[in-house]
Amino acid sequence: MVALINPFQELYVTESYLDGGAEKFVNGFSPVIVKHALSIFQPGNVILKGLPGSGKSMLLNLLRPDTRIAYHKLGVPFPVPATYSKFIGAGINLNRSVADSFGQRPFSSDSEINKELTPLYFADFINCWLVHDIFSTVLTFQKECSGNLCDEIGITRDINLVNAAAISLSKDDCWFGYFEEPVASAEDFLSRLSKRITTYRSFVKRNINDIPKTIATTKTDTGIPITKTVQHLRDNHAISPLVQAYVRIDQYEELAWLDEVQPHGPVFQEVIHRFLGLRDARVSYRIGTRKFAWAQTPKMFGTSASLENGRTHKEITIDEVLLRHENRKSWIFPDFAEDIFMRRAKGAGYQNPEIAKSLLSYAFGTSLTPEHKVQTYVRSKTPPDKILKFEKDWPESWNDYLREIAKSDLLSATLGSAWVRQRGKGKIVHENKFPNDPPWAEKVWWKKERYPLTLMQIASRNQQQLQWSGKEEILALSGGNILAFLSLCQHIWDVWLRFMRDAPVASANLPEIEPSVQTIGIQESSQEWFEKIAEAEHGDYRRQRFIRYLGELFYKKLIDDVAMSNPGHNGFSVRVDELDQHPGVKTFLNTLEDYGDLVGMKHTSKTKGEKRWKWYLNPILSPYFNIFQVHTKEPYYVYVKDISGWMEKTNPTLSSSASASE
Amino acid sequence: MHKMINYRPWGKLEWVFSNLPDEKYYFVGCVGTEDRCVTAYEELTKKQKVSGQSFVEVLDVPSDYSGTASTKRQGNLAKLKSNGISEGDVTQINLLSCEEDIIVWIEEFVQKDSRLVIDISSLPKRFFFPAIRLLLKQDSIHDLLVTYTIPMSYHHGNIAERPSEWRALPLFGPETHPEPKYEVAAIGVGFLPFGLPDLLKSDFLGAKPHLFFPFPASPSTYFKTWEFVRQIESSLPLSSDDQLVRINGMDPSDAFDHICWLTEQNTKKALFAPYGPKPMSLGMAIYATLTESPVFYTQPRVYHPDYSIGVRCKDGRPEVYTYCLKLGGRNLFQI
Repeated sequence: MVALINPFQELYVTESYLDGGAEKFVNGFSPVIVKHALSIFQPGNVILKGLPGSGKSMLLNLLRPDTRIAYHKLGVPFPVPATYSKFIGAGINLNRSVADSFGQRPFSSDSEINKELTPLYFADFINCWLVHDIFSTVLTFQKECSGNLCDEIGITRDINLVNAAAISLSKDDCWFGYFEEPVASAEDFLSRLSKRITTYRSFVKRNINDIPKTIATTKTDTGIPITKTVQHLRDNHAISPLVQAYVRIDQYEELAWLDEVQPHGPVFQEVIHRFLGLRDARVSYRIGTRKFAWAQTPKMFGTSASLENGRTHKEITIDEVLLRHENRKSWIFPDFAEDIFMRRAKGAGYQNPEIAKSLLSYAFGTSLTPEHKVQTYVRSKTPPDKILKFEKDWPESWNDYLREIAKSDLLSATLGSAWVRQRGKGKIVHENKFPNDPPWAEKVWWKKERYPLTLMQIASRNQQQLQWSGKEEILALSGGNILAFLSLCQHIWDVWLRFMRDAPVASANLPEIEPSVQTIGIQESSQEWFEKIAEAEHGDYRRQRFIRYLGELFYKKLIDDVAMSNPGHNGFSVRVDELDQHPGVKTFLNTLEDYGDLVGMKHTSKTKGEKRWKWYLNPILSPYFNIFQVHTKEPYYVYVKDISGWMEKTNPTLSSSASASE
Repeated sequence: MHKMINYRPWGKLEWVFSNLPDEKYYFVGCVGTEDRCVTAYEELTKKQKVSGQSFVEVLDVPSDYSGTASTKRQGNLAKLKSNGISEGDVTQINLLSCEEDIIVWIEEFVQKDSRLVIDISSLPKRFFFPAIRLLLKQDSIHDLLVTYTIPMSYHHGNIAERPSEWRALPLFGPETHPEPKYEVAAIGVGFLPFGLPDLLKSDFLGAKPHLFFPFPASPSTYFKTWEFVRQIESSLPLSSDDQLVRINGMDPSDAFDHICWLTEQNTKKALFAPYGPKPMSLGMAIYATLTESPVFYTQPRVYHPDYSIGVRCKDGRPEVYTYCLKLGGRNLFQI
């Protein structure tokens, strides 16, 4: 008897680098994505933007020493090309390190002095933390693995050289005499840095009354000790001159929320910008953030200068890398998802069939054709009149014509009932004789653009839920987000295991899961995704209420559109210049996009030269609202006042504060 | 030598006070939207046990509920005034105010009396955790009691909204660097995990999660607490039996002792996520204070004005529990 488990039970194996060891990371990480984000492994500052769950943390985790060591120990080739793999990684999590708690307790009773001191101490704390982490990384590589990996990266095997680097660094002017008492070794240097870090945290925690004078008089300049650290490591041959230092700054975006609890959040962001603004070739910074949490021209602390994309840093939007564009061949997400699926299935002990080219196709099959879907929505005994919705003034002869078509092709008959409702097409119903081949039969594109809407209307008229299954639909519902893909797989597998609970299991072969089972799993996943809008970290019922309103609005518009004139009204579009005049509404829409509730994209307007932007629901929410996720034809054209109206109906307080900001 | 048995008296307010010396206490409470925020003070003033008082009126982030919340707070303030408090006894502080504002309020009452009762029924964790910490550390306080009132019912819908990011509660951040390796993550099971499942992926630093499940759960809360567990499991499967433990949700002593057992008397380092009932969270606050352990939470920005309704009564008396933390200068909770 083989115990069946869900390979997707744990969603985050490539992010929980410390939970259960880095081994899980090595086995779960898909190298498919690396070549599309090589800038992360090249010198220069990088801002990695993306939705929650898009894979930012997964990619940045490759910079961690424990990840690198795990690859080495397991004998798995490191997924970064050798040309770019000579680096050491260090980092700080601004929240977990308590850096963002600076400002919760004033450093001075004089508010003006405190305003000046707080960002300086914040910068000094980060300097100390990162210098400590860079040295720790070098020592970890020396201790944890045989010399081969050190040689591969360009780190000395000789501890004396690292000690020499620490001693010379401690004498550097950048510390303003803090290490007055001579440092004996790298370990000694680190323990004294730790003491300084602990002192700061004791102050925040009110276990001491003041910052000691030894620290107050030796505050370091933003970023300088970090570049000096790399220089001293190189000068003392502790690392090769070719070794790059990549420094992660995690939870940068959380600083934006700090102004709720203390007044220094924006200043702290400016300090972080200053680190990047140093543009020192010895150290490159990496920041993962949501798309709109990174300002267009981020100001730097203590200067009037701003950061500039392309000059001070490079911005990569991971969602754009993974989202499907016009050309399907350039879409990398299917290969990425396929690889992760294979790794998860293998890791859970499932035997993969050798014959299958695509395991995703094997397990989930291909998505049902529109004709097949009709059969799942309407049984043969269902009277066609229930589906076709005749108009009162249509002659019975026309109705009979559609009924006849429906006997063999209900999809075509339903399309026909919409066709004659369109402008200029209605005369046909009064003709004496109807053609054998209906006029819409040859309109290939007209039909294709309306299949999703036709299926939705057929399902609705027969009180059925939309069916979702097959590799293509699962990939489409994932919307290029790997967490959404894993969530869909998790729920499908859960439902399959429930269905299988009484069945004898002879082997652990990868299952071929029935479309009906997939549909239930997908609907459960979609519902959970909708609930997470309010309940996840940064969840917000205001966003959830708005999305619910929008989903229900789209559903009603699509169902009521019996002429199928607007098969693209599962999204909305607004003029960019009008939106720019209403920053409150724009910010709200950006927030919805930032958390992945909506997907926004440029829209080529039907009016020549007009700049528009359009939004659709996150595809994974489509099953919850029982609407299709395909983007076809023109979205619903709206004005900002329409969007304000939706906000007013769902969130009166939010709506009034948005108006106040305009 | 035998370890001294540490008896920590707790029970119904009438019973605890009837067994304590006949003294008066300084009372610390909260002017909230819940009916129960008034009860402990009312009971103690009736018994003439109050020497003075300090209340905090916690103001939510503006929301669609602000109007209702304000009206309900005013109603409760009027009731408290009819029991003897004055405007000067109330300090208004925003829910997400700077930690300094909260600490200043706490430090004001810490010095008031050597005997103090703090009512945590309606005090948000951002307030009562640092208060407990500072009160336990204050040598001048000889007798420290905590009260907690059981409501008649909880709101059926969403009781809290818009969680903040995962961060340490005031005065409960990590201190030493490098941090010790955390082996135990004690999570109080409550109504809403508020992003906790997602956070388990990386912010628990490899610590093994142990869910403290309040038991016996009342029928009205049973579904919500199991849904909490389900959501955690969807991110991080629980692999061993000891990862889901039943704890008396009304007994901080039970929670404290279980933590001591899990951590082998602080031999294993622990961190905490107090999402469960307040008395259970109180046990965590005490342990974390004594061991300098970090406590993390995703503080909601908005509470529903009907978070809880009414006060549960038994034998015609409101159900108010009282817990003794310090008596006669002795801390009853020790590692």
